[in-house]
Amino acid sequence: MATNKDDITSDLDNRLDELFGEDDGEDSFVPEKKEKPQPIKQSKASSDAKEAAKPKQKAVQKQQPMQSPLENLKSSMLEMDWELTDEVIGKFLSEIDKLKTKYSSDKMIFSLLQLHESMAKYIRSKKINAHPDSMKLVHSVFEGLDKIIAAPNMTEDEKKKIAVGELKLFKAFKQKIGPAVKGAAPRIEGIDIEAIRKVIKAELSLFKEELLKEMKSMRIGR
Amino acid sequence: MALINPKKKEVQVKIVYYGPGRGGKTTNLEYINKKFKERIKGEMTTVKTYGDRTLFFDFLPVDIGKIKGYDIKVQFYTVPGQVKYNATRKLVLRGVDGIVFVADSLVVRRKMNILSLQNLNENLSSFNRRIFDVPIVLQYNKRDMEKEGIPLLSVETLENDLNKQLKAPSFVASALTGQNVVTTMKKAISLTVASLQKKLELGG
Ligand SMILES: Nc1nc2c(ncn2[C@@H]2O[C@H](COP(=O)(O)OP(=O)(O)OP(=O)(O)O)[C@@H](O)[C@H]2O)c(=O)[nH]1
Ligand SMILES: [Mg+2]
Repeated sequence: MATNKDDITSDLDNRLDELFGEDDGEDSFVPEKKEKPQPIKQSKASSDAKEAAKPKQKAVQKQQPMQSPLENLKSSMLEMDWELTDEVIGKFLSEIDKLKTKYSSDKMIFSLLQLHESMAKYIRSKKINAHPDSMKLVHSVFEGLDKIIAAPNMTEDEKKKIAVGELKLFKAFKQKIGPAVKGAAPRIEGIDIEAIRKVIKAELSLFKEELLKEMKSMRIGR
Repeated sequence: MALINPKKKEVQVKIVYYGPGRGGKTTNLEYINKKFKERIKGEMTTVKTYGDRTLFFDFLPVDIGKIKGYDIKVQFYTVPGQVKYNATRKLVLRGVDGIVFVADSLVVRRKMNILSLQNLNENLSSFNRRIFDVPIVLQYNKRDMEKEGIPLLSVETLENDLNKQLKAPSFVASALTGQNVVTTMKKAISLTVASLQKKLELGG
């Protein structure tokens, strides 16, 4: 019987290799040291663990110059990615306030900050129902800001190009969300409702079956 | 439970990607779907909302073909990781045959990983199932972020937090770059099908 099991497993494993190949991520990822696709336990858990245990040193090697003035803004933006609460958005907005004071004399930076502010306020009002592209735009504006601030010698023209680019995206976004519809359901675009229905139906019929069984057994029990 | 149709000699296996919100479950399936588009005949269904959060679930059917005369069809699901969607998670988890637990390697997500695994355990218990009896593979995702200098949990910590009792196969991975995504999936399929073997009496 044990042989039987091995048979199937190796048949299956061969098929899986055939279907999906033997390696991962070769397209876009070149690990410094190729991870062997084996369970960690049986392979190189300890060396991986050591590697992972010293990310700080790695960061230093990566030589991030000095802290960017956008550091706090970035971290609260990442928090917004994660979970949307008034607290998190509040932090983001107050960081923008600080930066607006700091860069009040730089027209392009200031206008990008204003864009950020509008986006954050929109997201705050909509929360989970904000348009799926909202955060993408926030990230994009951030990148624009980051580019300008990281290059103090950038000419006004270059700055303007970046700011105008973001502004265009923002305008297109406003078009997309259109006039505010009150109490609208979350927008779900391009999904295959039929496929979902099928899955739910199958699940529900299974559930019904089990429920009926449960109910029957209850009656018999009495 | 797997749907087994002895007449048609067909087996339908359900594998669920579970784990904390934003851990990379959907990204795993998206990678698989993109990479094997030609070979996977089914369509991926995905329901997203603000910030790409899964709203209901993702669904990807994959035909493995005939093994020992049985046509094996795998259905991959992801659950929504956000804490508030537990009813949906339970619905998706019903009748699960195998699980991939996608943990987030970011240091700041340590607690979320542990809570999510607890939540999996509770939800399985509500179906009178034990986490130890369900084939499960752990994936420690987002390892690529180490390169950006972002602090990650060490593999030892993750093993200690999540896998001390389970002792399941585990892989470091990056769903974004694809590192070990396929390996994780293959392991999950093979563990799951092997666990169904007795029921199938394959080759017997
Ligand atoms: N750098 C990096 N980012 C990742 C990786 N996996 C996922 N992400 C990113 O993390 C975010 C969340 O990924 P998802 O796949 O949507 O996470 P999820 O687990 O499905 O989240 P929920 O649907 O909310 O439960 C996305 O922005 C992904 O691009 C990874 O391995 N590395
Ligand atoms: Mg998801």
